[in-house]
Amino acid sequence: MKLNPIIEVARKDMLSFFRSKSTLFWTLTFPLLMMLLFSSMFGGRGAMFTIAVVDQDGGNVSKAFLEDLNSTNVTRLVWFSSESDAKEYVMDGRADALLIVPRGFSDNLTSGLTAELRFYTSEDPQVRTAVTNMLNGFVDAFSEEYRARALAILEEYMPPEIPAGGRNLSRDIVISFLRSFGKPVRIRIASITKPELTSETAAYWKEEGHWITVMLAYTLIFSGMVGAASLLAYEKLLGTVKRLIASPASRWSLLAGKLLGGLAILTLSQLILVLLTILWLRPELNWTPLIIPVVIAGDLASLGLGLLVVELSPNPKAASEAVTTVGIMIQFVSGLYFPLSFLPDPLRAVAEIIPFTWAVKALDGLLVMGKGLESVAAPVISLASALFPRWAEVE
Amino acid sequence: MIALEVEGLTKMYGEVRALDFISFHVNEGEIFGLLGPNGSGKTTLMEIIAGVRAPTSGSVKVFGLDALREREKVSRLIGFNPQETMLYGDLSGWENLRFVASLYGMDDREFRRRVEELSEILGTKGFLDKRVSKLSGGQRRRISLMASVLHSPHLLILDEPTVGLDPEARRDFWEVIWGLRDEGSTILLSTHYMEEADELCDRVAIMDKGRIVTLGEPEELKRRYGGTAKVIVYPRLRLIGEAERALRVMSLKLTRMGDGLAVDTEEPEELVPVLITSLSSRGLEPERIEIRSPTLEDVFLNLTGRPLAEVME
Ligand SMILES: Nc1ncnc2c1ncn2[C@@H]1O[C@H](COP(=O)(O)OP(=O)(O)OP(=O)(O)O)[C@@H](O)[C@H]1O
Ligand SMILES: [Mg+2]
Repeated sequence: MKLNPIIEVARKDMLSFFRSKSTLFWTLTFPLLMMLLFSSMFGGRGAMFTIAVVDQDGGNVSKAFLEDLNSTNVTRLVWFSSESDAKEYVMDGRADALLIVPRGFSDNLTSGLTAELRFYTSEDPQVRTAVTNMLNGFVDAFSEEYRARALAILEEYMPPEIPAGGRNLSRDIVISFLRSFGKPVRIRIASITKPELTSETAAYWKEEGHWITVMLAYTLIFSGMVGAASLLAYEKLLGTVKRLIASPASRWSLLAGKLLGGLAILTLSQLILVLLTILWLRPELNWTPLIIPVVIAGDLASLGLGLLVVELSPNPKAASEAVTTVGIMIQFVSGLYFPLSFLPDPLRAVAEIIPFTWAVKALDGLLVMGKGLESVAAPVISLASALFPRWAEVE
Repeated sequence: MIALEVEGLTKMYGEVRALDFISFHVNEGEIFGLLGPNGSGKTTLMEIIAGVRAPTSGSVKVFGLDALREREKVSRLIGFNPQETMLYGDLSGWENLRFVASLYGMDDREFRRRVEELSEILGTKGFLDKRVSKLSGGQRRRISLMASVLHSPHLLILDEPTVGLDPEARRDFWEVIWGLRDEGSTILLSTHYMEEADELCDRVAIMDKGRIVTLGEPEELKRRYGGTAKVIVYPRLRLIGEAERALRVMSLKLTRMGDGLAVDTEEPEELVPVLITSLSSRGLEPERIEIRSPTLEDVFLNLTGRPLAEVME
């Protein structure tokens, strides 16, 4: 059987690629580290504190209190019925603190008495301070709301005139007096960061489905460009490209082999990354075959771009530096890690015209928001067209 | 038959004239050497012949075919081994070879047969399965050479194939090249080792600054441009001045060469006993006497006015 240069170029590039440790780090380990880091910092699953909870009270107020606490992003509650089990759980280091809601918590509050919580934290001073501050803040907020509600009730049932020391006080005076006990000092917190951006960014990182987009897009933006460039730059550096040119194999088949090998490498990396992300985050996704054309067009465009940069560069070293810089810049402006609204206007204008940005949007649209064909067409066409300069260059 | 014919070949890199209207030919079955210092244009010339670079002007014919117009046909006739070791370090020798075979559209069975045959001639059997990055320089060169001759080229172009090898390994390599010549290849190789050009090549072109300074069989070049032979006398070091005076009295053509005194002569065998008698009679017995015939080094020196070795560093 005749050995086919297209297949052999592809095979050779794949072997070189997967046998190089540093390449494996950048294509597989690095994006996974990013995912683990960011998703555990901001993701719902990776809450900052785990708190063991024993609800001895079981009343309506304690239930509401615990549910509120659980719905914050920073805590994850684990319920126990026995105090000793819960303590053991904390001692094992599986939770950062233990919160006990004593019997009578709900009754005390509803009958206007002071309610009490018992709170134990681990000995680690950092965890201790952090988790205590967090809980204090939450209890303050909860108390304030509770007082506001109690006052509202009071307001409703209080008669308009209240006799006091021979005089009649008006209801309004009594209420505002009581309110000053409830919240003697009011602080208005001015916004320091644009609140809507911060929350949007956090939502980006929290949205587990988006991490699948990140894995696919990181590979097609960065690994594709850098991989293609380094495979060709490496040939130039080795001088092996001279052997390629001196051989009767056509330039077209060499290019086809490079693209085929590159595509296989990227697809394999994407499969590995997506699988591991699914295993780790278990995101809810709208799987659709429509992501395939987006990913393949993106893979090809970035491979083509990488090859083109090497062709245009004066030497292999300049080429790999250029491609790394461009690759990192595109990663940051394409909406991979931050929403586009986060970018200053001029940068955003640039981002909007980069086809990779559309790929990220399309993937998020398909996987996270459940959009359909309409989000695919534009990026596929534009990504595929990014290949054209390269074809023109070779022939 | 003429294997390679180069005519009026010129290559400009911007303002740099790397090749300046070069013309020569190589006969079929010959081992033809290009000898020249760094930057003399050897690599540029070979890469143009191999089709890796385009010339500024001039023509190249390989077995009668125009190398610039009929690229595909000519590339099958040529085996090119560039100056850099050009193998993929992450692949084994065998994987490298298989890849090259595919570039020439070789048949799988033919490829295996050829690897079997060549690993015998080149002595690469023991390390074909190892990753190239784990091999020694000499082993790599052998595999690289094997890659260049897999498709049984008629004209083999080797750019400094022995650079970096120790003298013993270099001699082994010469055997290999003779073996390939006996297999029917014509060989064009470059070197800046003058002994290599002298002993390995049938004919040599001496290059300098993009031109061929002279061309011919090594013996003929040495006879024509090498100057006379030299007898070099090494007296005891503290007596060297006295010995020099003594020899001058004999009206000999004399130059200091390191710790020795070199005497130019047409008949070295006759001069040696005369020198010994006359020096001994003055109590200046030499420690050692050497006869040096002209080398290609002398040829280069005489033609360019500069020593080859000096230009090289
Ligand atoms: N790609 C290039 N761009 C510009 N100038 C070049 C290039 N390649 C070679 N040259 C110049 O052309 C001349 C000939 O170089 P070449 O590499 O052909 O010499 P060489 O005889 O092979 O030298 P060496 O013994 O060092 O291999 C030199 O002056 C060199 O600087
Ligand atoms: Mg050279």
